[in-house]
Amino acid sequence: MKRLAAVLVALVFATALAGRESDTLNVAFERTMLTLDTYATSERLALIVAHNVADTLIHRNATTNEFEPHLATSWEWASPTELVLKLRQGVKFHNGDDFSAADVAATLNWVVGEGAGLAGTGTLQWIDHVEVVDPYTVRIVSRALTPTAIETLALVGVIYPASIIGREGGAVELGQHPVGTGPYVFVSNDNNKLKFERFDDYFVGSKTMPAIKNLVIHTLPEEASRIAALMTGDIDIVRSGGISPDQAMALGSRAHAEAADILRIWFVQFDATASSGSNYFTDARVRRAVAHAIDKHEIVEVLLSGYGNVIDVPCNPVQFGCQSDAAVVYDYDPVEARRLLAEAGYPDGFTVDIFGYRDQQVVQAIQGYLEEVGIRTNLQWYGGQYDVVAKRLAAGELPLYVGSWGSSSVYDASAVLNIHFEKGDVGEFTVGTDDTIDEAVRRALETVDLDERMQLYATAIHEITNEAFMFPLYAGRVVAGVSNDVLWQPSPDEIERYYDASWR
Amino acid sequence: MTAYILQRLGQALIIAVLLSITTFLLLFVAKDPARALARPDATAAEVQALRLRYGLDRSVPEQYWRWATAALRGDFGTSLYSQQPVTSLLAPRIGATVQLAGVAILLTVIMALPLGVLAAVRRGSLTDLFASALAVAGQAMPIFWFGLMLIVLFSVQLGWLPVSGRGTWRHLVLPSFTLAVSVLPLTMRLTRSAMLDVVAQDYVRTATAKGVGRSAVVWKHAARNAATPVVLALGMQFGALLGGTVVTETVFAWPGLGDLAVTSVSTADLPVVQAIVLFAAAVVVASNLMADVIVGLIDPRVRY
Repeated sequence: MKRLAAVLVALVFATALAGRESDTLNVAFERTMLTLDTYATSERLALIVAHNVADTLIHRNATTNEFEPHLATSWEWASPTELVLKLRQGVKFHNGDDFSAADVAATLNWVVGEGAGLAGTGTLQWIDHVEVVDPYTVRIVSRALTPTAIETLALVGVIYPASIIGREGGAVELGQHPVGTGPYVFVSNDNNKLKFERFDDYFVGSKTMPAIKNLVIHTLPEEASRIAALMTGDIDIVRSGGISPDQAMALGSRAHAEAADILRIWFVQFDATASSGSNYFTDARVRRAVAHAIDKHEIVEVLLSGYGNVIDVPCNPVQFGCQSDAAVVYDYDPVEARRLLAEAGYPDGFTVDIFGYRDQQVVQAIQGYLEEVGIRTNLQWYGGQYDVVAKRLAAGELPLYVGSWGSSSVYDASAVLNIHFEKGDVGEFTVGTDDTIDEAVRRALETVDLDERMQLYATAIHEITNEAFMFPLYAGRVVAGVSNDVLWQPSPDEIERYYDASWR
Repeated sequence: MTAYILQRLGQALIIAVLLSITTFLLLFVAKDPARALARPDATAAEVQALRLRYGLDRSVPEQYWRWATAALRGDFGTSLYSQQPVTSLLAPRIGATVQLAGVAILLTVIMALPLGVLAAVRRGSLTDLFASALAVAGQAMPIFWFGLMLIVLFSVQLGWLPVSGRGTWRHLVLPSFTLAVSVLPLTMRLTRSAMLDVVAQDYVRTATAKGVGRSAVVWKHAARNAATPVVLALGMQFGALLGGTVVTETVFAWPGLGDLAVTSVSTADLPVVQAIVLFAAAVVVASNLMADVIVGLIDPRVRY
């Protein structure tokens, strides 16, 4: 009987093969992905998969933030609206196709053509069309002067083989079985496990040849399960955002926390136009009252265990044009908040819906601060449903929103300010702005003169914060859970490069 | 019996049709599927193009009719989001959920029936007390918490079983046990009270008086007669289990229907949600029907 028990236990352990022995990096994602085509969804996880399976023309170095040649070896603006890129020769796709200008044209023309309405294509809609100059040269013609063209190409412009994206239903196929030129080859999607293998013919370029042969991405929707799997060694990396800082710091002996400052900022945004049917925030005094009511330093120190950097600007200070000294600062001052509310005609406060979709603790803390000054809030929680809450925000349906914005990983103030404060087509989430701001941010996107752009964004930032159309909270600092066997760090642009991981 | 089954099948069909209409309407009221597909700042023209591409511009009754007639031919359409045929999307998920729920119900039967019978036969004994305590604890415990505790003990501390995922039998142990514990209390208490009723009956006393052995009295005479309400309850619980595995599937990352349902609802993926609802309805009806049939077989007095 004892022997039988011993055999059983041995059997159980034998089947639990550690990742290192099988040269497999096991990564935990927190949501099921129904498509792996990053152009079909605004889901960040699909973008991460895309950068591990496919390549962009230009690559941003995660450490230096510099743009480096990748699928393109060089590029230059032939005119303010014509970007000419020379392409690398001898690159192969996973399916054996040779990479050439035809693939770039087929992919990007599909993105702004047939695929233009899809959720993940928005960032590239500045492109008008792409021409093949010769087999290894393309000309990208933009609709207007686009200062962030290089940024967006490096961020989302992954290139698929023309033989697939060009045929009927090809994009759909790529969503189930992505094919690129990238460091990892997609093998299968088995029981919510995405399996990848190193591409031995990888051209490398500005990325690195994966040191670990196999990559498996698991879906583990529950945080506690992700942490348990990390502690048992079933998982090597819990990606940033999949583990909260306080949990990451208490991981114990098998794993540790790795942090990175990211572009994403957290903020409170008000419906200043009453389009949501609630008119409290049309009054700047009420918006300023909210700003004085919230102690963001305490949120960062206590709730986030210091994993965040308090900001007073409605953008990330590392972005070009995002100048902290241009902002009007609101100190934590509940007395002043109550005074402003009374002055605006609400001595007893009011009740309003508050919307959020991530970091529930933070939203609840803000509810608590607002309650202190008399603003009672009903939480409308859209946990994990960013697509839904984003649409409601864009439609102006949210009176009070605690949200975050990753700037699509673009290191330019336009990626926040124009998106949230420009009127018309560019402003996706413009729910409160004025003509001064609109004009400044619009002009900042119409010039490439750096000094002028700085000046214009300073004007916009001053006006936005003075009017308190948005109340900035903090810039993010993400933390990932990493096995002690693995050498790896999350990236500031939130595009996780698993091909950089290696065994210790 | 045949007439009864046919009648029940007819009812099931009506329920399925009504349910599918309700889901269809609810989803249209809640969200515009074309808007859900498009990027947040898509222009009206781009949304309209998507609408045309997927036939979402037609009237709701027409869309429903097209869906229903195709579904009758076994074609549940294509997922708006992943562009996969709904049947190929559902098939592996159904397999996973049925496996989980099936093993869970089996575990429930194995644990709950003997425990319920023993508790009744030895009423007031330590066994009875233990069973009652277990029932109260099982019912009071939140299922996700219990699942996590099992993970901490068996995966993290002892390292015997994997934390999550699906693959070998070892992956099945913790989630199915968690699920079984959530339905065990009701089944056990029902068994116990049904047994208590039966053992007080005259024929049981007669059997004992005739000199029939105690175990034969309990298991052959009494348990068989006590089985009717238990089987009916199990039938209902199996249906509920298939629909209610969402939490367990989340904790253990089990790639089943619950997970797909959550993802599809949040992306307003109409065809997928429709098929899941229909499947769930079919399972509830079928498992109740099956319970009725089994009761008819166990208890010859039951005639439909």
